[in-house]
Amino acid sequence: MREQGDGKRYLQAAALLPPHLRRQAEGVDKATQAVAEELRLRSGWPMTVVCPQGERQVPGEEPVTPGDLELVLEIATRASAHTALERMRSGFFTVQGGHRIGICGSAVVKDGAVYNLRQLSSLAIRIARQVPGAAASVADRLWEGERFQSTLILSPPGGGKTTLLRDLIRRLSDGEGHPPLRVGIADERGELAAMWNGMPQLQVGRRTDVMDGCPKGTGLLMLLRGMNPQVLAADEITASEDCAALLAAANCGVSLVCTAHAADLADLERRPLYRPLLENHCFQKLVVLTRGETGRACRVSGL
Amino acid sequence: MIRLVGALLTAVGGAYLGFTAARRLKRRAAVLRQLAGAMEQMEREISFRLTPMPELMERLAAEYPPPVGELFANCRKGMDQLGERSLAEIWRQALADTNLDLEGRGGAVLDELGEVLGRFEESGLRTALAHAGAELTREGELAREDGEKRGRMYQVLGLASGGLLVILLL
Repeated sequence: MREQGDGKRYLQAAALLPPHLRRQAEGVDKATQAVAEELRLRSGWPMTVVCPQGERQVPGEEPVTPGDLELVLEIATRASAHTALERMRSGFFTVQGGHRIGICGSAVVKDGAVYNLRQLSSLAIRIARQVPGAAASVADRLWEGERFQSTLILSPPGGGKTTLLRDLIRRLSDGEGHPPLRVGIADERGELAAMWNGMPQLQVGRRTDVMDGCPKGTGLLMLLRGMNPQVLAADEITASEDCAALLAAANCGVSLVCTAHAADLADLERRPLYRPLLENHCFQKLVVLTRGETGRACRVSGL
Repeated sequence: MIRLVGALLTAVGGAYLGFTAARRLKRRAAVLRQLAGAMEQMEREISFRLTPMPELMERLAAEYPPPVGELFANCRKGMDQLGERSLAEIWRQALADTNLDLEGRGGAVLDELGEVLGRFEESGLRTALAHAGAELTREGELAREDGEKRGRMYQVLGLASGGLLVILLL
């Protein structure tokens, strides 16, 4: 699995920076631009770029100021930070192009919940990347006859689950190699489709309906009731509400395709959260992603 | 005959100057009132409709007559350069490019507003808009009273000075 690496997405993310920081970011060599995962800005320190080899400083010694951080938000939100406030409260928001800006600062707490961030201290611009074709090697093995089998994708963090899931959704929705299916995505954190102004910024297929910004469990049930999906997708099952919604969907005959943080099936079985899903045979296929010295590998098995 | 026409023109010229000065005061009060209304509208749109700033500027540009509408239109136009310039700079440029003809606190209030427009601290933005709206309303009221007092005076002065000049010249 290779990341889309022509540096265009890096430059698109760098365009969110104020002019003097943008020039620094553009000074990063092309090879790093092609694999860069994040741009990190911390008040009082020079900007850094995160790539698979680690975090390194961009050319230039000029430290980032609190004013620079505010300008990034001003550029990213088109001077409309108030429209992104709700998302900011959860610690990040998605911008045009699907890039995610994680924010950190002094929290203002009201009624026990974070209401706003008063003074920004650091930002992480996560560069959105997609890999069309990432699911090509596994997609055919997830069908039995004319039916797509409910699939659970496992890997440790950073293993490429989301990338694989996104491409699998795109293939199912566009009907690549099999009849097209209506897919509903509960995209709580905006990582799968990266919606911006009602449009997915990443390719998730033409027959895909996206419910983003709400808890996965709620989103899955809303999709199930309202959009008549043939496949329901969710990234990172982490709550019992998610499991309850997936169980309800499975009982309605909808195929599922989800991801979870686990090294393998044994690791997954040790966690009580996933027991109802496994005991009720909600998934028929398991895809385990591993990262070795030769790169990433996918292993498909029955459940 | 020529002297009569000259005297008439002198009298009309004096009156014109007086009436123009009075109209300018009246216009200033109207502009301040409209600006105060625009600030209130901005605060409402940001708080309740979460209207994005470019759309908000477009809306205000369409709803208010010149020069207030022109100020928001200039700001909207400048927002195409966001990323190269901050909204504070764009706002100040729009103020410089628009002939609002404000005196005293009115101009300063709008200038200060540029510092908070577009910033992420929403409550600060709303407070600043409310404060600007209140100050502009107060300035508008002062301008109205001033217009009533000085406007009448300018009209009388214009007519009187024209008449006096005619008497002197004749």
